[in-house]
Amino acid sequence: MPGMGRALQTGNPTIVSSFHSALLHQLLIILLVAAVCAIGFNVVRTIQWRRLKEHGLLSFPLPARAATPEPLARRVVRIGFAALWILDGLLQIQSGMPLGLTSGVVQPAAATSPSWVQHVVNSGVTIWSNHPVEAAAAAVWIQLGIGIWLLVAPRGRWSRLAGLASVGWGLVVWVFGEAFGGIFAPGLTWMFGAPGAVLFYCVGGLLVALPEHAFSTPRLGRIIVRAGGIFLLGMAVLQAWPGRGYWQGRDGNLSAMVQQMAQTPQPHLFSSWLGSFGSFVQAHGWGVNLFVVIALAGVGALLVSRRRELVRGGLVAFVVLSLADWMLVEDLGFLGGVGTDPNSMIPMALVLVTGYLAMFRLPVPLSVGEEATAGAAATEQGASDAGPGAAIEGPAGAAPATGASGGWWDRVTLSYLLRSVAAVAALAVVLVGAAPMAVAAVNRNADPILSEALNGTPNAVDTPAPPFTLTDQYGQSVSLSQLRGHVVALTFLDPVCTSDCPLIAQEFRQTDQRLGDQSRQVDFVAVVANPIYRSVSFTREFDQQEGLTHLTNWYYLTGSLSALERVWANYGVEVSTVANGAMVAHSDLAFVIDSLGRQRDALITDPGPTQVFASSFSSLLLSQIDQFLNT
Amino acid sequence: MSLQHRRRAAAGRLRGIVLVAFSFFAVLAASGGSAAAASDLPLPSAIETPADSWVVLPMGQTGSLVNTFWQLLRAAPGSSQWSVVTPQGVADNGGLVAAAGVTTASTTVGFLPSQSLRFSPLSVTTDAGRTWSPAFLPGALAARPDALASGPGRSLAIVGSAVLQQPSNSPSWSRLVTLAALQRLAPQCAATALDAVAMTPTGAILVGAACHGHLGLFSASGGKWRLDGAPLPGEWRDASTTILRLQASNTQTTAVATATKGSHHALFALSQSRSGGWHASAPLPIGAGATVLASAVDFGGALSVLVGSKESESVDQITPAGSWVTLPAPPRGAVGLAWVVPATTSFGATTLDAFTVVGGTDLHVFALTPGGGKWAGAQTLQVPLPYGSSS
Repeated sequence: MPGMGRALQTGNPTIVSSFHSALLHQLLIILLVAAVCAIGFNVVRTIQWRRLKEHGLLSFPLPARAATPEPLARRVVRIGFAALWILDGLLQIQSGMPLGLTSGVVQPAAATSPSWVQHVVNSGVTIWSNHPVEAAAAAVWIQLGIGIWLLVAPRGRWSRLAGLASVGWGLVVWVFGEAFGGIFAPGLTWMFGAPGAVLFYCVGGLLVALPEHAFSTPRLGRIIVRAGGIFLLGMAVLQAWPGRGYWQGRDGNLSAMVQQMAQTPQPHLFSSWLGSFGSFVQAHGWGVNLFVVIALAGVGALLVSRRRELVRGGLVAFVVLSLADWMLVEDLGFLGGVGTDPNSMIPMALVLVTGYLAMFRLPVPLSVGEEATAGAAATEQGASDAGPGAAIEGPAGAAPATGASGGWWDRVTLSYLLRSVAAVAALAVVLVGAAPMAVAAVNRNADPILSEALNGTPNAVDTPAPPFTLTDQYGQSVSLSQLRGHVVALTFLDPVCTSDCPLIAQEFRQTDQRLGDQSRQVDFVAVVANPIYRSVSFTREFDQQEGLTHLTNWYYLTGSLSALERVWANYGVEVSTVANGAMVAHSDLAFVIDSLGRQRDALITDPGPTQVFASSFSSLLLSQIDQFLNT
Repeated sequence: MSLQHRRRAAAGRLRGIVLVAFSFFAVLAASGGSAAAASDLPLPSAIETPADSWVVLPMGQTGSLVNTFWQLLRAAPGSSQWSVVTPQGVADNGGLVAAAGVTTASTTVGFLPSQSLRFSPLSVTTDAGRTWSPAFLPGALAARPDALASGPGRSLAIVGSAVLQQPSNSPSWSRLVTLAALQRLAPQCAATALDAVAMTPTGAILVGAACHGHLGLFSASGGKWRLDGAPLPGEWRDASTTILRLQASNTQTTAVATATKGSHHALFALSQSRSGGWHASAPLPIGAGATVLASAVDFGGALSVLVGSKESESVDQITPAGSWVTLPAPPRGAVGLAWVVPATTSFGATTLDAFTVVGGTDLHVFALTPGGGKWAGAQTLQVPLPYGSSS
């Protein structure tokens, strides 16, 4: 029956199984790419080895100049955010992501933001909602790919590119997934994750993308730490601002948030912590907020100071404060089935630790001799960082190259080659997710899987379609046999329906448009499904309302009550009136009848709770009609 | 630049950054939400003919438009026993507009569009709501209590910015007059919307329009339109006006006008003289935060309105002398009023009923006692509603 407000649950088995299947297929592609990369690496290595041998060399070249190890700050931020991206990618594998992310995470995050933010976010939500399987799978591989890329490409162009990829994807997630981190929402607070966890991923990516010499002086570290300090001071002001709901315990924002987080499905231990803290906040909300304000202001002031001990003290205090907030307010961030990341505290702490290291732990240049013994610790420097005539780093401890003085190809080291191939493989992982998503994103119609998830897969049949002769919207008699030679999409619509029928009519209209020239071989037929309002005036007005009047292959048929009842019965359509102001209840069904007049498919047409499902049904109907064209 | 200068400049930059950052956070802190817009709902209304009393009431989850199911109730003469006679076949969560025939026993109900439906199916009964026949109206009926009228030889309906007419012997509707035509006819009225239509037993057509400075009451005779409404008296002379109700019967033609001047609002009861001119009652001031919730018009010209605010509701009735009298406070949560026709065998006057809805589906009817001293419970009706069937 129409309009009963059915919605898909996040664990819908059709969607979940399609998601897992997509992940599996993409994993196979990735393994294939990895195998090709491994083979490619071996082939190149062999060719290179032969070339070197021809030049009388016994090993791959070693770096010809002194190098510095990767700055500790850069290594920390790179590996730290690589780990976070990988964790986020793994979290995206959760079954609830395709359907639950937008409704459970994105839309609530944008709910209190201004309408323009919601508008921006909704454009992303629409793409995700239209293509939930591709989108969720894309998020998995893009995030895993970026994480792996950051790990396997420690230095050089590949590494900086990984940083840029991290910034790019981070911005996408920050805008569309986190609604700009809620910075435009009225309840903005550091405690709930402002200015958005992924903004710190962007900062991390930006640091990795910087030229390495940026880490050679304390300037970068000072900027990071001071910016962090100013941010925390600002957050302290915001936290202290009266009238924002943080000074009150009972019914205050903080206790509401904590109580809400306690409702998230999670181990009992965590929920009991949250419950206890929530009770504490309810009882002592003013005191808790005072503590937070003082702590944020204190830490901010320490970070703004230039003295190492004070900054270190501030950093330690911040890490402790962050961990407390992470556990007691943010509830670790990734629980509940649609948690996408560990929220803001860990990445923010990582950025500040990076700032501290960049400020006080500057890299020390290595001499050539030291470099040989530094071995694996001195990770590879890319082509861009190598000076003219320098070898592009090879395995530590190998004999120095002496005769490799040709083009860059002759100076490629084995480890550089290996890491470049690994970076290419990581990029391939990103692309395996991003490419199908990009293709899907330009398709404004939702995938048919949504309609199938809601209504089940079309029921294939092969029986003669029950004949009928009725009157079209122009008063002309039309029989099913007249339409022989065309594929017929048949449905049942109430001309005075307020909800589903107009949507179903739009699905048919959309399908007609998407058929293009092939629509000449297809007729779209609706039979009135209202025993009271069934005159031609109503079918014609319905057509007017739905913009169907210009479709030459659209027939909205009606007739006497007995004639209609016969058609309803023959096609198994139930129609009944409901008392006291409700619309007529009828089955939402459609049938595909082939050009020989045989009924081939029966589909449930319930357009679902949102517009997304309507275009999804149109995709499904299109694919079903397509099967019987030219047969 | 000296080291001192550099330090001073750096300190200045830092102060600037801090200032900008603090300003940003301050703006964020001060930002707030926005108020919700009011919706334009048809008022619950009642009409009375010598044969029946009809009332349109909202029931169900009235906080949710989709699950507000409007009901049409009818009472026989002399009885405060109401029965639900809502016509079937269309979702009525957009609202209902009812019009009783002035000279016939027919009653027409129009379904206001809701959700994706953008035109108004009609339903007509000639047997006091026992059976209904569908009727067609091209377009969306205006969301006004008297947007439909039925009289000798034709029916009228306000659709958009036009009054449509349908001859009794034809299924087709045609345009009778447009808002633009009325604006040209009476520029002094500056009509902005069509509010109400009525037909007198002699077939005269009346149209009410929202105006500025005048009462927007027009009539047509011999195909010619004229403005009958005059400026409101006294301090309301320059007010913006709307015609909330417009009803004609054998004995009386009655209207209710709202007047708005700045933040002040008032209601006027209007009665038409034999010459066609309109006489306005004393104003009934509507306090700040209060709105007219419902209205009931008796075929003899008696008129009552239900005015509600957050705190309470009140019922006011116009007296024959043209002044307003406040009746005993209606039951808490009253949603509608209706006059009940006296039984033909009795010599009694019309009596007034008030309606409350409890839990969305329990309708309670209260009758004003003959002395007008209090409201007494008269009937309780259970109206099962199919929630979700219109969403």
